[in-house]
Amino acid sequence: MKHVKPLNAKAALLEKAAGEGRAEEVRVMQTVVAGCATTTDPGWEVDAFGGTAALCSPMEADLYGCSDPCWWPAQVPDNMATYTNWTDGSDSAPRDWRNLQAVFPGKK
Amino acid sequence: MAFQFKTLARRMALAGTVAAVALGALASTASAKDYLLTGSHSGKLFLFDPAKRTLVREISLPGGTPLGVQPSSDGKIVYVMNDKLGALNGVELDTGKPVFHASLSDGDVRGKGFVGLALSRDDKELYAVVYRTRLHKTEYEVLQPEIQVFSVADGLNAKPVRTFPVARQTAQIHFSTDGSKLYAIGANVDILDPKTGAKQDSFPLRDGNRPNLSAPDMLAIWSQHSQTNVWTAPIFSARTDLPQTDPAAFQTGIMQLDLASGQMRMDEFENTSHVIFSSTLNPANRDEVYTVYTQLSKVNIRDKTLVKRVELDHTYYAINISADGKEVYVGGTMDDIAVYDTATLSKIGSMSLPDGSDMAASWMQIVKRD
Repeated sequence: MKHVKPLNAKAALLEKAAGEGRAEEVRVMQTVVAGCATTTDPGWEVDAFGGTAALCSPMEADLYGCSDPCWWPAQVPDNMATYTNWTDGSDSAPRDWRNLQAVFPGKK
Repeated sequence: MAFQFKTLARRMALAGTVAAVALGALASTASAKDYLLTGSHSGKLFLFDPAKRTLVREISLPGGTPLGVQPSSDGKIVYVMNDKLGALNGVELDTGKPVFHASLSDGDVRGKGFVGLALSRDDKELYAVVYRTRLHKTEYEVLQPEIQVFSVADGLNAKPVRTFPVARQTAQIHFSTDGSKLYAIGANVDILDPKTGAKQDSFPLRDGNRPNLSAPDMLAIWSQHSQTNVWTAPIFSARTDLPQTDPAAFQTGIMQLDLASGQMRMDEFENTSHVIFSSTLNPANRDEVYTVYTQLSKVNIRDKTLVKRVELDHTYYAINISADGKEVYVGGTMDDIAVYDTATLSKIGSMSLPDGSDMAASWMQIVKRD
């Protein structure tokens, strides 16, 4: 870590933890990205077994069930509070997913 | 592994525009008949006659997509958690007429619900778990979650008649069959006095100590236990006495909460090999639990064995069962409800939402109507 400098507060905390021999405590999601993943490549998330075979099939079957109650806050717009119209007119994710667009912060 | 609460206690010391489209009259029969009720992403309720595999009624809701869907005991009124989980709405099932509305927000406090929705056994009060945030100019202040109690007689501008704090992470709430207890299912199962919110007892999940098993992880989203009054949910636990490379290191089980007796059980039945989202108990054989996700599974929970598992056409979230225990219905996610024979787990029918919309996470409830 001598040649790497933290660029943000979280990285600084990680460096501090490493110095105290507690780095393992901040690596709990190292092997399996579970639940609400921050990754979007190759897919929405990985399953409980570290793969993708046990994810909902097709993936679109799971989209509104997860996005309506903000289960996937990292991957889809917050359509409970901020982007409430994100899925308007697209009531079938398997049929209408192409209509779902990226969102951008609006003017306050 | 069975627990009894008494033993445990000793041990632990709008309104909106509504278009109701009657697609067929509900036949009046001598005895109550089962109907299947679910919601969709198009902001509608759909009522099916599962015996005939036909749609009976389609109702447009004020407030859009419902998640929780709770019929009254006589099957005449349906209450939903919707409006981006920010309001409760109630409609007449015969006409679609709105009869109840309550916002979960108040002033600068934004309230959001999730899956905590229950109707008192006398149909007079609606209970909702509400997560609250005070919206300051430059920050959000997370407030104590609470259960808000509404009188359904207050109609379209209902305000809470009582509120009481509830543990954070509380998901579902369910009444005992005699109405005297409210089970708040979350990190643990707290048993509350529904009048005061006072905690009478608690069944430990996260705080439990089962030999060689971690605290169970549970998915508690769907309310689909009206045929038995035994609420069930899948649980997943890790064996603490085995290395993670052992095939038995992770266990899948079923949690049962008997709303009549207060008994609660957790039984592991297989090494974790498949994901399960929800389950329901067979009213004709209470040893049998049916579970659903991308597979439909039949479990003998007394013997703690998997009896049979079949692949489904696609993933489904919700499952319910006929009163005679001969058919299970799998729904949620997309636009079709599939019917399976409980004896063979073979597909014997299906019903579709006519507008092709997703049911998503909406509950799929049995409604009994004369």
